[in-house]
Amino acid sequence: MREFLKRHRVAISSFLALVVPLFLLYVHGRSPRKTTIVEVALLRLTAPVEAAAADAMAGVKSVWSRYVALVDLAEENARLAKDVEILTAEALAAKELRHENARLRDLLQFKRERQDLETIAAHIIGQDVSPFARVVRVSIDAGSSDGVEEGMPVVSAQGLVGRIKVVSGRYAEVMLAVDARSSINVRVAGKGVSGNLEGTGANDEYSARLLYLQKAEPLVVGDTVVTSGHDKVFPPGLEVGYIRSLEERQRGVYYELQVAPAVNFSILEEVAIVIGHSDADEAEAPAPGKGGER
Amino acid sequence: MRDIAIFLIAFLLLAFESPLLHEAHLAAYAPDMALLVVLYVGLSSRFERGLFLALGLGLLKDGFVMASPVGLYMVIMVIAFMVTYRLSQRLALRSILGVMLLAVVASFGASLLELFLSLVFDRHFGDSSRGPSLVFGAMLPEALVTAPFAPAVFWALDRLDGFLARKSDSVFH
Repeated sequence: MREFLKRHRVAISSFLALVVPLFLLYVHGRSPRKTTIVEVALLRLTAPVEAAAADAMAGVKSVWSRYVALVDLAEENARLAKDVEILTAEALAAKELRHENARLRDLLQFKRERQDLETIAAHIIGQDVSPFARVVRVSIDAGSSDGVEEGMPVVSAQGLVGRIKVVSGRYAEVMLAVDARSSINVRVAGKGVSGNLEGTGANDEYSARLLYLQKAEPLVVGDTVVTSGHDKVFPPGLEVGYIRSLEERQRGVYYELQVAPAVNFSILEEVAIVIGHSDADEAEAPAPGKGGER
Repeated sequence: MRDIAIFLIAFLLLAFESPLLHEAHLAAYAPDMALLVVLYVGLSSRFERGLFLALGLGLLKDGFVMASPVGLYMVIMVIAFMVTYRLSQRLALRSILGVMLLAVVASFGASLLELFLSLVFDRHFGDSSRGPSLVFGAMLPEALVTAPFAPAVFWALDRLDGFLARKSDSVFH
């Protein structure tokens, strides 16, 4: 028997290896049937391993998706940063436009109030700044080709800026009212006091001094100083500044008072050059919009 | 020792195959890893031990493929082993292409056998045309998907044999 098995072991094992699975297949292929012990055993063997494999895959997937998410996050962050940059620039541009719009409205209002003045508008294109960050001279984008001539008054919505000092084809330089070389014939609005306003040329502040011979009535701090028009250079009634202090100093036969300019030269962006004006009511022209009082 | 190691490798391959392919959205085109292991065993093992291992691998696949009746893949793996074992006495696989060709032919054969056995033994298989048409439809893709894995599986098992220093009769002569 043993000899038989040994001699035919290949055939016998092949036979068994085919019959056993075929029998299992026959049993499990029937329908209807109950769950067999073989199926339960296989399930117990494979299910935990399959579950562990699925968990491992889920872990790998999680790590991978987090990594990919981080990559996406970095891209999104860069995109958002760019968006913020663009929007910030747009917001700044809009803010700048709002400010420019307000300034131009003021200038337009000034032109409506002073219809006796023939003006052309210009942008400030350059500023000379003192070591104390004070603007001492400005350049504008209007010149002789626009009809601008030396000595013409330059105004803004706030008041007198100065006069044209140098003119070239399309550009001009403006000497500010606070320049040490500047001298303007002025009067204190509503007070019957006339005199000359001279710039101090101070590096650390915008200031001018009012030189006068005598005052008909007492002055107060804040009184408006306007152009008188007597010098035939500046039209009358342009606001120049305000009395800053009542401390009088005597210079020869003149008395001297400190005047703060009406215009903030540091934030000046647009100006108007007075290229002509009617003389009809020049001596009586009021200070713009303020009735001569601040 | 070698048979246990091969069995464990096949176990791991089958365990990771399903979730891996599912994640890759390739569940419909699963390579037949168990068949590749059986082919290697058929080409490199003694008959009785290889036959026993093929039976075990078939049973293992039956456990993982819950939709088919237990015993189906046991029969297929046993027959695949027997055929490969017979071929191994005449076949010398000298190249990767040869291994891939063997895998394609074996995969086709296994699919046909699966179709035949299912029609004979699985009562539900012939109830509708979905069963046979599914096996027919998957035959070519499965063979094409299985083939590229064959060199890798053969190489890994060959390394295992080398590591265990069982023999020097590498499948790749």
